[in-house]
Amino acid sequence: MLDAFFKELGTSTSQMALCANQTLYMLFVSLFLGSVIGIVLAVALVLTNKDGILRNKPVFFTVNTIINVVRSIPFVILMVFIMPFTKMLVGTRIGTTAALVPLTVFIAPYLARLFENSFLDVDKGIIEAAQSMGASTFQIIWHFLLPEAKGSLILSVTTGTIGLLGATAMAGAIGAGGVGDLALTYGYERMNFSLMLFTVIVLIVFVQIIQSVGNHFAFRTRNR
Amino acid sequence: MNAQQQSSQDEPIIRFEHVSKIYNVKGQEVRALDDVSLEIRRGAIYGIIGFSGAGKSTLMRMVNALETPTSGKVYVAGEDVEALRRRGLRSLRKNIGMIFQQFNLLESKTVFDNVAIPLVLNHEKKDAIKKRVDELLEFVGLSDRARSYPAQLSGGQKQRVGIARALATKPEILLCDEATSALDPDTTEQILKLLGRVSWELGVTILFVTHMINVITKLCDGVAVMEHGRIVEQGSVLDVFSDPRAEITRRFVSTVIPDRIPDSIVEKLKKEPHPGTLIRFRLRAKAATDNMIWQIDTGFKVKTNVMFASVTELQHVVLSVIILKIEGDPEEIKRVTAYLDAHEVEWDEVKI
Repeated sequence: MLDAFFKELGTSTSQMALCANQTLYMLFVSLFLGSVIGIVLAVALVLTNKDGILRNKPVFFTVNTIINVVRSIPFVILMVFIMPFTKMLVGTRIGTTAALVPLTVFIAPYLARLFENSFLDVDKGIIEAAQSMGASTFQIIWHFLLPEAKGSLILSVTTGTIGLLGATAMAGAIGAGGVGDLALTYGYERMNFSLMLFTVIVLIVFVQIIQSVGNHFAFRTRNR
Repeated sequence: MNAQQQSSQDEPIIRFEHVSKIYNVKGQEVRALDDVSLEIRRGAIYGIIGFSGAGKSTLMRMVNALETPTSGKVYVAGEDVEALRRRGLRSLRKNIGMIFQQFNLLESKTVFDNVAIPLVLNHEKKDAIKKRVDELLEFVGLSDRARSYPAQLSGGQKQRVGIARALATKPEILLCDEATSALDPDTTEQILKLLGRVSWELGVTILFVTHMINVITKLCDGVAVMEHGRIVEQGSVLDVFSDPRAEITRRFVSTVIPDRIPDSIVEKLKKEPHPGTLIRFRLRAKAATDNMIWQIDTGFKVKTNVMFASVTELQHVVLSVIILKIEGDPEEIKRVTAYLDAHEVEWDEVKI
């Protein structure tokens, strides 16, 4: 039945599965890498800002500037701009795996900004309490900053995931495949409107699911 | 208990020596603390009172090195805080608990986990932590709320958790930063009683910073009054508050010990052709309260009239303030005041 449906749309079940697979692969791998880098950058910003416990102007300025610079570059341009770097890292410029590099470089500073806001929302008094107990910098991050910001961090990741989903569609331009590529090459270029409509609906549903899951976990940590 | 057995018992547990703190705000020097010296003896419940910006919080934060003095020295248990700081803040701060106006509990952790945090930071064993936390929750009366989250607690309960957390590492000193200023009067009373137990039962020295004089009169035995980064008056609560010298102390004290003639009576007195002399007496219970007015009435050729009287209990000592209108010959009134001085009665003349 599913086969017939996709055939009607001008594609096939195996192609749909491949596209979905590529999108999810790009999304989750770059989300994971981007979140790790984003957390590190955000922690660096919060610790070294002018009210931070490790106040350090040069470090703050450097990290802050790097984030701003990378965030100024539109993803389509970033993708081709860092191709030499991509090749150096994964050995190829095109394909799904190659797309992971620009996707991660794109999402990490974006998440870093969102995470920074989440951390800044943590009450200063909590940090002071931590210091009064003699907590080390690592302990302050691990036992105070991260748990207190958890709900807000989850919402930040949710927002980031949805932004990243948009970027994966553009990654089709460097042969990364995925749902966005399907809509463009098969839907748009072959003027297959029903296929395009289908992918749009799939994306809308997917975004709704991401947001609902994010909200669910965020509020579970907040409203206890 | 340990604290009292130590040989250095007579040594003040906290000592500030000529402490100054100068901030640079846009090229302008701001003196947050100006040559402050203060000693707090072991086991005391000491209050520092002042309006916001007086420097009292800054001073207290130097005890656990959250602030550092620009000049001067701070000693805790005989050791220079600056030297301790270099050796490691952990050992210093383990010995000093702190509670806050806004409680500063972790919203993401249960009451149990909040109290356990200082012990987790010290890498203590799980069952040792469990035992200690249960003990602490029992002490503050929150054993039944161990699994609750701070959001589910009232302000008073949150501060109890704060106290339990501050005591987790068995500190010798407890710093209280406006710890009752966010609480209603009933809850404040309960928290002060609990802090009293912390002092009597555990022998912890308490340093309490506040702008609320009620807290000082109910809890503390010693007090320092601060204004513009300086200590303007210090001593036992009874001495300082029964006979306030500085204007700011008078302002604080007048809110708990009324010592002014009500406005309506002042208006009436102003209209009288012979207002007489108004003398304000401040009497402690043991002074010659019962017959002083009679002595004046019978011993001198003057007419007296009570314009105002108040009786307040402070640290189990009854304080009364009486304002007497004395009419008579100026020479005779001088003899009355000489008589008061001879009997060491605290008095001053009230001008209206």
